[in-house]
Amino acid sequence: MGIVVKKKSAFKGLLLPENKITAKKTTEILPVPEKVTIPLQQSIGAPCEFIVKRKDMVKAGQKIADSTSYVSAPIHASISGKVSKIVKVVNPVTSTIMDAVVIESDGEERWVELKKLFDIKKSDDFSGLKKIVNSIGKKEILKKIREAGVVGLGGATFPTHVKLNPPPDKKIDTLILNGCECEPFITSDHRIMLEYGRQVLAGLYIISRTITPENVYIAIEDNKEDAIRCLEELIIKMEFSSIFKLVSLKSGYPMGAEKTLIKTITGRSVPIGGLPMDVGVIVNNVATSKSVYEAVIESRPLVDKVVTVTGAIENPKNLLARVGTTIGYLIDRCGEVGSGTNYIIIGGPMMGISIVDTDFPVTKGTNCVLVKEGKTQIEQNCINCGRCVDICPMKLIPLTYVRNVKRGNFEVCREYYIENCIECGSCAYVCPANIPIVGYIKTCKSTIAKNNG
Amino acid sequence: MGMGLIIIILSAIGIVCGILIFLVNRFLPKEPQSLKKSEEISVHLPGVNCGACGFPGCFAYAQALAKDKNTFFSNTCAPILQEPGMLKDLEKILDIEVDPSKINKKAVVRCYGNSSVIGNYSGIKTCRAATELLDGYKKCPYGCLGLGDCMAVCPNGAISIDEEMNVVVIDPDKCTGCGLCVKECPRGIIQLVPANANIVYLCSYESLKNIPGRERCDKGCLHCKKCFRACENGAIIWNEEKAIPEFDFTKCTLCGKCIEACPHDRLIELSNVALKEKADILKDK
Repeated sequence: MGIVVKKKSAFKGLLLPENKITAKKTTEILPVPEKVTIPLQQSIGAPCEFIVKRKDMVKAGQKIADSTSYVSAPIHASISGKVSKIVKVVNPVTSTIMDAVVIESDGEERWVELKKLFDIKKSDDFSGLKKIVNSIGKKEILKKIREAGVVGLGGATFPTHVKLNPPPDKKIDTLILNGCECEPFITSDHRIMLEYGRQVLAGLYIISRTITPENVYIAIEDNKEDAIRCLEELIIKMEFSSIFKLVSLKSGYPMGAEKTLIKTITGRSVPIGGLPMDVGVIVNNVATSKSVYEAVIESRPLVDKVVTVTGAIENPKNLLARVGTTIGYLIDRCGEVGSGTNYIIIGGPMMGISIVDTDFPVTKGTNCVLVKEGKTQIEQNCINCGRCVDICPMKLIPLTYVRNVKRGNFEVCREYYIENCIECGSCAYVCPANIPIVGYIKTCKSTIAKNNG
Repeated sequence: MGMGLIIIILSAIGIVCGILIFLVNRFLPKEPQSLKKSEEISVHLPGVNCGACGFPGCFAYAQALAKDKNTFFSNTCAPILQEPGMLKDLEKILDIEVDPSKINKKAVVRCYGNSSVIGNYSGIKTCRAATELLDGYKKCPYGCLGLGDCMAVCPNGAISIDEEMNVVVIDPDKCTGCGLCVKECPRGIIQLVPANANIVYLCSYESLKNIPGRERCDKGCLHCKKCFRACENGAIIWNEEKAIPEFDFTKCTLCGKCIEACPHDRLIELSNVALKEKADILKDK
C-alpha cells in the first residue's frame, strides 16, 4: 500500500445526502432501440453538418456529421440502419434549437471495421500495450481522438483533442483524472472505474503521452473506497505506480468541479474567465479516459455512454446506452416510475436540468437520468443572511446577482464576476428563502451572451 | 492688538472675494440660454419621468429639445400626446406643429392566449427566465408566457394578466404607446400599432420556425391566406417571408370580410377605436 495520498478540500464543501443507490449495480448493456435521434451539436464549438442524406443506409460507428472548424467533434451513427428523417429538437441545456438525424434500426448491428491493436480484457501483457502506445506519435493520437468524436464527458463536452493540444506558450505540468463524482445519485463514473478500470488507466497513459506532464493525479472522493482499492491494485498490476499518483479526497460538494479540484490538489487558482491550462493543469473525466483508450487502441468512436437511471423508480440501474436513445426508452427499461413523481432531470439533482419531453435523446454529455418527486417551493425575499456567500466554493457573492437580475441590471453582475460561477447550485441549496439563485444566474449569463451577440 | 489684526485680515479677505464676485459677474458669459429654455420646456412636459423617449427623465428630454426641436419627432414623448392641452402649450413653445393622430401609437400583444403548453413551469416567475432557461414552456415559440415582465415596466398600469386565457392584456385607453413593454418582451410579440388602427391581428407565429414537439398552438395562424384573398380593398399585405398578414389601415373600410374569412375565431379583431366608429355609424342610421 502507500500509493494513496489523502487530501482535505480547499473550500467549505457542502455535505449532501449521497443517495448513491445504484453504486453496487453492475452496468447493464441496453438493448439496441428501434430508432435513435442524434442531435448535431453535442459538444462545445461549431455545430456539425450532415455528410449523409435521407434514406442512406449507415453502419454503426459511421461518421454522419462533421465540421471543418477546429473546435468541434464529429458525430457518428450509434446503430446500423436507415436515415429516416432530419428533424429539429430543442436542447434543454442551452434552450437552442438544433438539427437532429433520426436513424431507424435494421436490427442487424452491422459495425464499421474496427482495427483492434490490443485486447485489454483478455491480455495481461501491459508492457506490450505501453510499447504500442509509445509507437503512436502525438499527432496520430490527437487525430484518432478527433476522428472518434471524443469530448469531455464530465458534462462540459469540450472536444478532447483541443484540450490535449494546448497552445505552445502554455506549459502543462499537471494532469488530473477526475473520478470524484460529487453529485448525489450519479454512479456512472464510479461503475466505469470499477468495471473499465484497465481502459481508464490505459487511456490516462495515452493522454499523459500527448502532453507529457510532470505529475499525474487520479482524484477520487473517499466515499468510493472500492474504486480507490480497485484502481490501486490495477496501478500496481499494470506498473503505473511510478507515474500515477492516487489521491483520496475528503468528500464534499462540489469537489468534482474542475476549478475546485485544481485548487484542492495543486493549490492553484484558475484566473477569472480563464481555463485550467492557464495554470498548467488539464483535468479529464474517467469516462473521457475510457473513450480515449477505445478511440486510440480500438479505433471505436464514441457511440455509447454509461447512464445512471435513478430516483423514484422501481429498478434503478446503470445502463450502457447508445447515443441517441430516447430518455423515455431508458426509463421504461427500469420499471415503473413511482407515484407522485413529476420531475425528470438530466444530470444530478444539483446541476441537472429538468426536461418536459421524454423524447429527448441521450447525448454525449448525459450521465444521469433522475426521476424525482419535487415540491413547488415558494420563493421568498432575500434576508441577506449570507449563507450563499459562506458556502460558495468560488468565493462569489450570489445574493448580488439575484438582486441585480431582478432589477434588470445584467451588466452590473459582471462587476461581481458572474462568469466565474460554476453553477454548482450550493447557494440555492442552502438558501433559507428558497430562492432559485442558479436560475437567476443562468438567466443573467445567457442574457449577457445574447446582448453581446 | 490681536483682535484688530483679525478684523483687518477678515475684512481684507471679504473685500477681495467681493471684487472677484463682481468681476466674474461682469465679465464671464451669462447663464447659457439653452438652460433657461430647457427649464421653460420642462414645465410643459408631463413630468412622469417614464424614459420612453430614450432620455433619462423629462429634464434631459427638455435639454435635448432645447438643442434641436426636431428631437420631438425622432424621440416622441408618448404621454403628452394623450393630453391635448399640454401638447398645445409645448407646440407654442417649440414652434412646431404636431398631428397626434399620426404619431400616436399603442401597444398590442400579438397572441390570442391559451396556447397549449408542453409542461408545467415552476421556475422563476418572469418571462425572461422562462425564455432563457427553457425557451418558454409553451408549444408555440411565439406564445405569450403570461408571467408579466411587461406589466412590471409599464409606467401607466395599462397591462394586466388575464388568468383565464394565460395572456397579458393591454388596456388601449390607458396605453400611451411609450414602447417600454416592446423592449422588455423576451419573445418580441408586443407590437406598436397606430392608435387609430381599426383591425388587430392576434398571432405572431412565423411558419419558418417549425419545431417538432412544439409545432403550433391550435388557435394560431394557419398561414392559409384566406384573409388576404377576402380583402377587396388591398388593405392586407401578405408578408411572404414570415407568412403572416400585415395591415394597411388607411385602406381598410371596416367591412369585416377578413374576420369572417379567418377560420379561427377572434384571430383578427376590430380594435376598440373601430368598434366605437361602427357604433356611431349604427346610431346615425
